[in-house]
Amino acid sequence: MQQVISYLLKKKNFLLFILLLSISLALTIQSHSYHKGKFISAANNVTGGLYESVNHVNEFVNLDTYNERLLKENAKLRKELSNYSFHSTSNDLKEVPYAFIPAKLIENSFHKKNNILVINKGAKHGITIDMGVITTDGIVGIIENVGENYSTVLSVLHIQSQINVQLKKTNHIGSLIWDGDSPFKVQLEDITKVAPIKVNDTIVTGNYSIFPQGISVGKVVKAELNQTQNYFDVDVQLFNDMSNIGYVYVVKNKALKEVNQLLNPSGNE
Amino acid sequence: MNKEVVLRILFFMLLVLLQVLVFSNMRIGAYVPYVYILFIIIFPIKSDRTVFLLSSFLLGLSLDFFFSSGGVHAAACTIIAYIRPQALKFSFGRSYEFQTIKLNKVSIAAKLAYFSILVVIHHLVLFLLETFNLSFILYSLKSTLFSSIYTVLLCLVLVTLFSKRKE
Repeated sequence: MQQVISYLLKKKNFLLFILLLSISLALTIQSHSYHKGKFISAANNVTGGLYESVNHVNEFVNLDTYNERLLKENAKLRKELSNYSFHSTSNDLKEVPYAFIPAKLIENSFHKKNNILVINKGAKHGITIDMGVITTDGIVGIIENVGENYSTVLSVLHIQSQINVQLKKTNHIGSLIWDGDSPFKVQLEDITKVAPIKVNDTIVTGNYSIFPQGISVGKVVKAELNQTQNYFDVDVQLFNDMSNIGYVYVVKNKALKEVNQLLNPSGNE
Repeated sequence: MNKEVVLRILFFMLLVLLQVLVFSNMRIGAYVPYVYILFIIIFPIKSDRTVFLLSSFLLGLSLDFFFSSGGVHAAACTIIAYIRPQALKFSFGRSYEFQTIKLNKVSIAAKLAYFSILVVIHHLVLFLLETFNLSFILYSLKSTLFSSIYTVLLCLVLVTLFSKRKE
């Protein structure tokens, strides 16, 4: 017994090394698997708070751009609203299935392969995992982890990101992924060869998705049949400039819970 | 608590803050310098190895919190902390065994070798674990190469500045 103990003591640094390495590898593997509570994330008060206080300084630089964007969005919404009230009765407005929570992006990242963003709203403001995050121009990502006051967002520029989208014209669906190459271009998968896809076609979010249907995503810049000749290889240029986002909306889909319950009646997610 | 320990803890926090707020934004193209590992590089050689391993792990873990990156930085830091004696022996030869080296007195070539070994291994582990996918191996190698050059240069500059101010 004594020999065992003295042996262990002699090797204690090696054992410590193995222990620490396995902890970090376990955390890494966990961070690569989807849908698990993650311990290591910037959605906590210390890191979020630091990012936010730095962001206060940076914000002044971009204030002009953000103002201009808001004005444009207002103009667009006013136009839509005037159309809407002209064509429909006021009853339609009452049951909106989506709620939009405004938030500010306090940490952006777009140069890595696994880009995770941080926003300044958390569980306290009604944010939960798997909500969509959009801007005026397009989509940003999906809520990955929620802290009390801050949340992290799995950017569309993440090699594990996968978002259900469709062609605006014909409703052919596909999924939006990222090959990790350019932060302005994402890829579209599973578009069959019968789909009439062309360069400059607009891609919007799909029907069954955590985003509201029809949010614009980007436009097709390349569409070629792949080697098997059954599917298209499509490159999509994002409408969003992922390097300068600023303010975002988190989309709360009120109907999603019901849909999920219908899809898995057993109740476990 | 003695002064040495307090200073080291402050240095730890300073490097984490600088990495998150300054160095991460000093991107050239897609390449970011990870200067925070200077903490591991210039950790006193005579100190207790258990403390050294633990503090290196904690350093990496703190960065993982900021970058929401799982345990990628923690793994890379733990590995370079563990192999540091070998890197020291390789770069400085016999003088390491007498534990008399001072970083501002060794030759620039030895210093460069020592920094490069640790930085390259750290970055390689970091970028391989970051994608965790062999189809991105080319990206990992490319990032390792360019980020390492950047990190080593910045570290050397910082170390030179520091040691001059001390004397």
